[in-house]
Amino acid sequence: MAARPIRRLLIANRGEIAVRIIRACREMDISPVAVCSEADRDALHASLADRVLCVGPAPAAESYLSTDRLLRAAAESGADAVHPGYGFLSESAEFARACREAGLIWVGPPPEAMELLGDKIGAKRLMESAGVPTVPGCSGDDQSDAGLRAEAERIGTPLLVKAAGGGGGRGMRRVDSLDALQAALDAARQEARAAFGDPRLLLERFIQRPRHVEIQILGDQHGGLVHLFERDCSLQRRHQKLVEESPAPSLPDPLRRQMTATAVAAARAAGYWNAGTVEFLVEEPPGKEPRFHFLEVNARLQVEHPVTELVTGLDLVKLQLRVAAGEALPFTQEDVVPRGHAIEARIYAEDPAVAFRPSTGRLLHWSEPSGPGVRVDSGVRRGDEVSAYYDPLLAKLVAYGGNREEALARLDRALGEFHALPLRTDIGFLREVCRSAAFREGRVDVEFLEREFATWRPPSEPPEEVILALAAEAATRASARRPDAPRAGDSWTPWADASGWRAAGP
Amino acid sequence: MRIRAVHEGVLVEVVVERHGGGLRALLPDGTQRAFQATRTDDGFLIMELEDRTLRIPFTSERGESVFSWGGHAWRFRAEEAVPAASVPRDAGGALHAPMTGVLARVLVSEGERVAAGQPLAVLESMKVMATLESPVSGVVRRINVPAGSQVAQDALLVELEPDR
Repeated sequence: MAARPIRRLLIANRGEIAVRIIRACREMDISPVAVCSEADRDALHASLADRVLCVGPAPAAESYLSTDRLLRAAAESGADAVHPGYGFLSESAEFARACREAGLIWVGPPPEAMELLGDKIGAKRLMESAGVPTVPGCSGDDQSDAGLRAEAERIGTPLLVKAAGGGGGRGMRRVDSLDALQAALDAARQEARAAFGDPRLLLERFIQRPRHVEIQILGDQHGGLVHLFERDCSLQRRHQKLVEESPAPSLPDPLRRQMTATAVAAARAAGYWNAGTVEFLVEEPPGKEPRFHFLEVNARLQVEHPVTELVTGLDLVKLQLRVAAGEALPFTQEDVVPRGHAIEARIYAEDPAVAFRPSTGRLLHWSEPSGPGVRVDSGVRRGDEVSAYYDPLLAKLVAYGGNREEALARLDRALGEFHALPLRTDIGFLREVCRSAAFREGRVDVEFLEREFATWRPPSEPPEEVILALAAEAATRASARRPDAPRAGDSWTPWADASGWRAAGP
Repeated sequence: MRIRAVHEGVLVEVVVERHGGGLRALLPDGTQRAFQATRTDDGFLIMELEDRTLRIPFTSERGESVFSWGGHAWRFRAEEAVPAASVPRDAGGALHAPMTGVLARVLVSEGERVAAGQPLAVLESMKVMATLESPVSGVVRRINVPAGSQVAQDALLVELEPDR
């Protein structure tokens, strides 16, 4: 296939990933075109692009998920390619096909491979036929309640009900007793239909305390296909990843080799190119060798791709754009030599003390960490309004070090420099989790957070520094209203401030 | 100036006053800290203490102040107005409990010289902390109730010997 350079790229996404893609465009002399909903007119991604087109009202279904409006925006802006980011329409083979039919380059895998691998049921069948170990479960052929119940009886409990059409923990239910199966099926179907427009479910044996390890793959349209090693994403809360790292701590080399080879073979069998991720569960049965089970393929760029970028020195988004344009991968498998250790922590506008309830409002204070070994991919800036319409991911903090210990120290230091006020975020939570002995020693599994941090609360007793800040804030308030006041202490009077803090008697 | 703010359902009280060219805070545990404080345009409080300088990000709006420290966001809501009359200053050389509660802290020790208005103890009632101040200048003669005790309204807490 002849290379056809991309000159103008429509980014069918928002938030940090849209910003990330715009930056790649700038480095490649591609003109980035952003789309936004009415709620995002002032968003960071919209302000960084060469052009921004509003594609509809705030609800994603009417804007970021509207194939018609996105294609119209591409035509209007003269874009020759579309990058879907992650989430939204990134895993929609239908959208990929529509882009192609409109003469646009799709920056992602071919729709045929997306259909083959993106569908969990189909992917599992493909893997089984290729001899790849998968989690024991049902094929999903019979979607009736009775059919699923029969399968559940065969698999046994505990088992997992999953949505066939998507991930992110939506449409997923753990069932510990068959009595609870029907309720789980009803709830999962409803969630799956709402989230992915696809109510199909599948059942799997629930693997106790597995690690989540995934392999990054990248291919071109000329048969070039490599893996970019693994990421350990075991630190999750209800299947939502919070921390990801590479290399995976204490993954035996033979297992790593088998998993990377499996991922490449699977991608080759599916005719895959561009970036993708093959996810595995690693089970460590007591007294036995660890073993892996194929979980699913994410036929798109992953949220946690910077982890791989830092240890391989590659720029995945730029490589995506190059292979989408028809270029061959500029390196071979042997050239990919991982170095050091990278850990990503996701900064969410969610309150970890109250079941991760989303926190919305204006970011009056936002300061990002920087310095050696610290990368921040953020989708917001100071003064931005964080709305309830979209994903609560504000930013990704990625720390890099020569080894895991150094990466962890940098992550801890950087979390201490990260301030997002007055919203509730997981920054303090992440810091405590990353300081926990289990995480430091690299022994966490996907149930770790729910087991050890389910009742986490922020510290209750304010330390002296905070009490002093409380005093200083009140005492400097009067002068803050007068920009010409030279110094807080000089103009302070206890009665100057009629509102806010009460100056109590006597 | 007395700041009364609620953090995680618990009332926190701190007294801040002018002192020299700067400020002096009386913390809930009775310690005092002299410091200079300024705000930066980009949302930091700079506090110069004797031995170190703190730089704490903060926001303040609609009666809620939030400070970022140690990786955590510390939130304070301005306390609803408590009538000053509910915490009366005793007359004479005795400090009585203005309401039933738990004596959370005793801030002075026997034999200590205190000034009129100096906080002597903290009484907690229904999650509200009340600072009890000395009615007179003088010397603490006797602390009748140890910290942590339940006390009834009007119980004698501290006996003082007023200056003549």
